[in-house]
Amino acid sequence: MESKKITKLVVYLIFAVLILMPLFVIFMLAISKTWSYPSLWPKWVDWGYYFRFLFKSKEVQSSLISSLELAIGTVILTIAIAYPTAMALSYYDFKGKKLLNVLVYLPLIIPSIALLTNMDFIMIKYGLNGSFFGVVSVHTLFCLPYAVKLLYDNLILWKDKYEVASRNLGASSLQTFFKVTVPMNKNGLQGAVMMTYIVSMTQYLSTLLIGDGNYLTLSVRMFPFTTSGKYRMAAVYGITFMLVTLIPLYLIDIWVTHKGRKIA
Amino acid sequence: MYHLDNISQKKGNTQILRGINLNIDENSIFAILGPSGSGKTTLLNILAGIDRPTDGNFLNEDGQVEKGIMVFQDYRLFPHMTVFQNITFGLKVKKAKNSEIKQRAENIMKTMGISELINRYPDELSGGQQQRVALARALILNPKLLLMDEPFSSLDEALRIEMLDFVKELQRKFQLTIIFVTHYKTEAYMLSNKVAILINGQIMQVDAPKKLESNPQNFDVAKFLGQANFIEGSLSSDNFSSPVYSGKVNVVAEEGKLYLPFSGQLQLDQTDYPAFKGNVVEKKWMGSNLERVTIKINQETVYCDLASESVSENQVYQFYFSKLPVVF
Repeated sequence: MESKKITKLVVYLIFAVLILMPLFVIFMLAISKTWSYPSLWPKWVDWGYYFRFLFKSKEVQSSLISSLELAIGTVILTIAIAYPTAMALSYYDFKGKKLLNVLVYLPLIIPSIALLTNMDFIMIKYGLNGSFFGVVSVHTLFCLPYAVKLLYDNLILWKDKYEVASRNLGASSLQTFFKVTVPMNKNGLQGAVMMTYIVSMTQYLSTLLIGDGNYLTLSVRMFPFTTSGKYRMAAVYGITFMLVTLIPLYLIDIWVTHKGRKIA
Repeated sequence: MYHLDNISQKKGNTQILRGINLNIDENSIFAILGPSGSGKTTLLNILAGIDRPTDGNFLNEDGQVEKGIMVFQDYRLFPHMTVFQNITFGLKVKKAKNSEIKQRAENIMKTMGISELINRYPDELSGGQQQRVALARALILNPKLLLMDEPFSSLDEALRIEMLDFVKELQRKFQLTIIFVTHYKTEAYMLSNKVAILINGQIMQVDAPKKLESNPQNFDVAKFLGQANFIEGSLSSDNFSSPVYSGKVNVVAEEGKLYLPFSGQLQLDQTDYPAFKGNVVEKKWMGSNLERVTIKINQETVYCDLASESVSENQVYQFYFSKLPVVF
């Protein structure tokens, strides 16, 4: 009993040190006016600094818009590709199923720098470098393995038996998809959308390389601040970055939990 | 009349159905009886339009391809929908008017006795209630043809009999043609006057229940129907020889197995076909004035169903066949 308590305490401690402490530091950096070595705490805290900076800085706002545009585009394209792929993998047996399975996970297996260099070459060849579709399609490439896996794990629970019942009752394929497949697969869809959104938001190298500098997203802008020691600016970007990630996740969670019946 | 015209189904290298030919009367209940893996559900899926046959057609009287509405073995009620939403699903996707949907839903729920379940979810219903909802979901569409896949397999004994009667009542009320598949022969016999036996993807026999039991057309059918003794012996022309019985037989197939069903074939009253003398070693009450009697004949054991108290234990009796016995 005692050892269980100690284990629990250690786990909480590790969690606090690894996650909560850096979060606290970022938060304090974003609201502190002066916080320099060797002070343990900031000398002057200004709670309004973050919001003033956020609403005044055109750079933060344009980064925010770029990040959201790319993330939303990536979510739409990823789900459009991942859903039929996951349905095919979970419902049907066909020649080349194993190969398709490997292909879907390939972006996670191949080193991303090698993949990006080649993707950049292809994008230049087809004139897509620097374009919205070019960046979104590369983001999609990295999101697909997660989305397919999350959708597949949920779809395989019932396979297509409810879809079969729906079509037998006279529903078209489209009606079946929106009235049966999606509501029954809400948890898988939630996971896939969330993961795609986060992965797209955190894409740094692919956005910079394929976007040709046209898309200065939050992560693209944040990185130089961090490397050049401008921690306060980086913290403002970091907090904004976390908010635009956590708020949609929370909203999606509310949609899944409260709209209709939770079934799996 | 519905016509199943040479329906075959092959998946991969497995031949599931082999040239199924059947004529099914409209406004009747037709049972397809067969062991697990015989292709029953595959056949039903074809009749429901869920699956396409590799060969053959399912046509109605007018020569049109017909599609039945299916009540699935596991009911498949949509778990995210209430009973009302489940029942009205078919009408909603057909874009029926809301007032019509409401009216028809009220009527069908009243008929099925499930009006009080309207706002419940499937996981809040018992097996019997789920089945009634599944039936309501199908019947609200006014189908001509209702297909039922092992409809009573997950119900307990008492509920099964209640639902069997209820389905019969529904068939009369809605003038439906019901095709159902099952591996329980009692279910098939209780619900239908015409039963098709499906074994290894082939229709082996189509007959009335009584005729199936008394005259199975081949060894596979007899073995599947069970409730029979199969006595090993040798056959020479139409003469059979075994420790239990030696004499004239009706040869259906030459596998050399004498077919003695537990009921209907052996009796104590004298006929033109004397069977054997045997010692009654045990009796078991089978309900409704019937006993299962264990008889020993020359170290061989034979079972038969006789009227209660017609024999006593440890007594030797002369038994007779009601008709010339069959050898498969």
